[in-house]
Amino acid sequence: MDFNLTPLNKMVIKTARAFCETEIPAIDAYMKEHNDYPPYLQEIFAKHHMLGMDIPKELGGIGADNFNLILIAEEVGKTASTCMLPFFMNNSVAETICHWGTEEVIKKFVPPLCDGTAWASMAFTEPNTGSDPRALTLTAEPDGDDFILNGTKRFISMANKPGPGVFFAKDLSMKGKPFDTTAFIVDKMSPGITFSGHYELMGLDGADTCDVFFTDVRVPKANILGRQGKGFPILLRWIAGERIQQCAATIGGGQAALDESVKYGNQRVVGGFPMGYMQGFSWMLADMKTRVEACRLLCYKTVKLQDEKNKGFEAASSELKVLTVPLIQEVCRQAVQFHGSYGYSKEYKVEKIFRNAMHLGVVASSLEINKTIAGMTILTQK
Amino acid sequence: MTAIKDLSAYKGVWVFIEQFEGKLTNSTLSLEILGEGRKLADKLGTDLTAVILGENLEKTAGDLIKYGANTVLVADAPVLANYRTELYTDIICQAAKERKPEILLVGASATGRDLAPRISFRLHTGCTADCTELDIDDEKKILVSTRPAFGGNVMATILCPDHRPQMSTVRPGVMMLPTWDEARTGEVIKLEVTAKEEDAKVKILEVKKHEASAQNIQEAVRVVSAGLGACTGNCFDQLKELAKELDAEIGGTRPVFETGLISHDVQIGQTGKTVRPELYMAVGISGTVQHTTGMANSRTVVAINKDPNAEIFKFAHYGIVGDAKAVVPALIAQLKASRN
Amino acid sequence: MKIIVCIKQVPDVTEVKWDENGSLIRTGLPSIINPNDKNAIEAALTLKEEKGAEITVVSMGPPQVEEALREAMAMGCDHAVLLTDRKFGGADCWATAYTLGMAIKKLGHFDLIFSGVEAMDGNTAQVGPEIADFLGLPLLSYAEAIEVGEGTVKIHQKLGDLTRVIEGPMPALITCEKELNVPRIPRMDLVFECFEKEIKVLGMADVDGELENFGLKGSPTRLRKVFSPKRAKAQVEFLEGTPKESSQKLVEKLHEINAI
Repeated sequence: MDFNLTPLNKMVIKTARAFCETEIPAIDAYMKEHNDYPPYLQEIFAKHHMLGMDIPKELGGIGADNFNLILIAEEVGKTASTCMLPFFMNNSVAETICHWGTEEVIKKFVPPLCDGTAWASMAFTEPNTGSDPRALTLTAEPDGDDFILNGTKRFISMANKPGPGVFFAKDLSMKGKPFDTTAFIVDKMSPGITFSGHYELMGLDGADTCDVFFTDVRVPKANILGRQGKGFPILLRWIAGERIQQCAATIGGGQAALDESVKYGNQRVVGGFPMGYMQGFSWMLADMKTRVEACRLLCYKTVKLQDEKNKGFEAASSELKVLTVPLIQEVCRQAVQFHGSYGYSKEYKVEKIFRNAMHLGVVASSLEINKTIAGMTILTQK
Repeated sequence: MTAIKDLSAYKGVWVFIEQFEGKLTNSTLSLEILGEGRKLADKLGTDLTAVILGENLEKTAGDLIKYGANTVLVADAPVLANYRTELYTDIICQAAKERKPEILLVGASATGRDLAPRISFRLHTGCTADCTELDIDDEKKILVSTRPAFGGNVMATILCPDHRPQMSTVRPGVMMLPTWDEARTGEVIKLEVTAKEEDAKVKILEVKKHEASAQNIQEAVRVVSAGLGACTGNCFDQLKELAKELDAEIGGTRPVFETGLISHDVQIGQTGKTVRPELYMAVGISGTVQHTTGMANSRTVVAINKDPNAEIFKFAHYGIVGDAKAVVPALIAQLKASRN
Repeated sequence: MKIIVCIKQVPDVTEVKWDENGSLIRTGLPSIINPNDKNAIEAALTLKEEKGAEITVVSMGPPQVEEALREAMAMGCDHAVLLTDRKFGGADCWATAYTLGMAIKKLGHFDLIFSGVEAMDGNTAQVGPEIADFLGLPLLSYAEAIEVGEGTVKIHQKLGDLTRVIEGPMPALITCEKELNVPRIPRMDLVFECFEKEIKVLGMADVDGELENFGLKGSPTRLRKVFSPKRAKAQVEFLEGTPKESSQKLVEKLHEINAI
């Protein structure tokens, strides 16, 4: 076992940090003004060749691995910029299509996700379900070479941006079979698709999350990802990877919350010496540091399983979330507390980091669902 | 390249003098090193030689004697009118090989920093760049050069014991100007110039003077200097207004230069300019040693900083503890009021 | 076109910290590519994109300079050469220029050499011009703009209070200013690729040259001592009160001493 990062890992981190310093301030400024992503956002990531990390070079990817991707995720997470979402999404959806797709599907959809001309989405959640495939109401009915989709998807990120989305639907041609969820790759600009306005979220300022309405939307049969009725395992596998990336980004947020607190603790003078040296505050820093470190180590271990193509990574990703959600949320709360009233002010970064950290507990499968997955896995495995 | 030199054959202190259009440049740097060269020559009991290359130099060459040179070596030709690295290097190296000076000083101006290393390489000798202090070792009778190093965080004292001439480039603003003495006499020697325009590999297509007043920060009587503490919001703009009120030049610290608010020409400190104005107003500057060595010799220092323990107050004659954002506008208002 | 870029790995002196006795803490400083040298790399990469070029980046130093060379390749340079040898240690500007010059001779034909104007740790600005002299190349220093023509190269030179347009034949050596460009950051795919590339390592035996010209032995200058700068002290008089009151006091004081 080796706890050291390689020179390559270190340069990835350094490069990601340089990317964050050069590109993100302007992205965040745009998002603050327009309450949406810059339309050229994916092109910025593509210009720096940060899309398709785990995609072969011949498809326009980097041919790297998920470990290095989460090192980047951690750095982007430190900035607390919402632009991390589209970055993760293009990476994880491209990887998912590569894993499950036919050669035709891969060639058609993966390169645009790597060159930044397309925005990926992943859509399972509906008004009445977030995790249960049996409760899906978006229907897909075969019609010649196509399927016709009708229904509604909720809380879909980057839905109203051009590019492919993987939409999970109840496949009416599978009626009576035990599993009837099919994953369709849908061009989000297809006729018959409309969108709601953006949801105003607690954190993730400027995110474009919205509802997607399908009215007789035609999707070619060739766009089925994987096999008919076998959509749910695609979701589970994707969401496990996404979970690790989001945990990494949130751990980055926790690190930034700690860094901000250390800075503040050294700067702010109370009674003639820096506040951080008071026992109450130094203990807080000790708690924060050890929590961030523990989450980071588990995160590294989990992503190693993913890179080893170990099937156990799906359950492990749930365990990671079970650890990370309460610990990092607490770190961010402590950081707010550490800053006193300033921590509650939007002038200080910890306020934003705190709001973002709340999202990890409820999005891309809630903490509780992950406890169930992790717990059931323990019971059913020896 | 490595033949051992007979060091005793090397005598005299040379100083390279910069000219523009036949006259001394606006900067007093060449005269500063002439003054310093005089001191070193006197300490060694030897002659001071000024070396000047250009066109129409007769009067300027004479002036250099009044400023303290015993001898002036003049290379006067149209081809030398504008500074060109290779031509200047060729002529100075040739003269140095023939006449064997023991010390050669060059100003650490852009031109000097371009020229000196080329000469030193060709003569296979050491050149200490950007010196702020020069002296002669009493015992060994060799040049002792002191310069900032490590980004100005430390000072290094450097010798060139076994090679000649011992070369140094000297920072502007650190040496005293020589006194003009009408009575001084000396010899002007013309160096033969064989180079022709077609020999010059590098052609000068255009020469433009900067319009920026920023060049004058070393000659400014008053300087308003910005630290990072004076760069938030519109504070820097207010600082410019304050500078205008005080008829001062604006400068700043290295971190402020890094932000792009000021140019390198007006960065003050070890890696920038050394200034000695009558009034130095440090706003939002903490006073790291990298900065203070560039301004510590100012006559009157005013420091404005919100941290009462900031190092800068150790250099200040007057201090105001407060946020630049609040103090600067108040100061502008007071200056305006005091004029009425 | 073949371009050689000379770079130096330096401690990031902007991150310098001091211990409680006021002494410089030198250890633990991050190592970076000297900022001006990044401008040199960017200049070469710009030419590569505009006209096509093969770029070799060269650096002298201890083995850990590998990191800087890989970063240069991650920015887009094609090849890297590391000059490392215990006998190179302790080199001053002269010996450094000699070593780099000898190595460049070994690398074969080139059209341009780029370097930064100066390094942020030493600030001597000497090695570039010295290499030019060693190789007998025209020196185009302080470049703020570069235009490559047919067999010639033109630069905008920031020479103190003058800006000159000067032109020389190629091959030539150009030293690059901060104002020349904004260096790109490494590209993520090239970060991975650069670790698959080989770095050519040259020691003293490989570059030939005379033993007595390398390293400390070949350095005409000698370091006598290093010390912390003296700090001049003034007795500060604090002017108290609200910003308005303290400003008023200051203006009065400055009038008293005829400073304004």
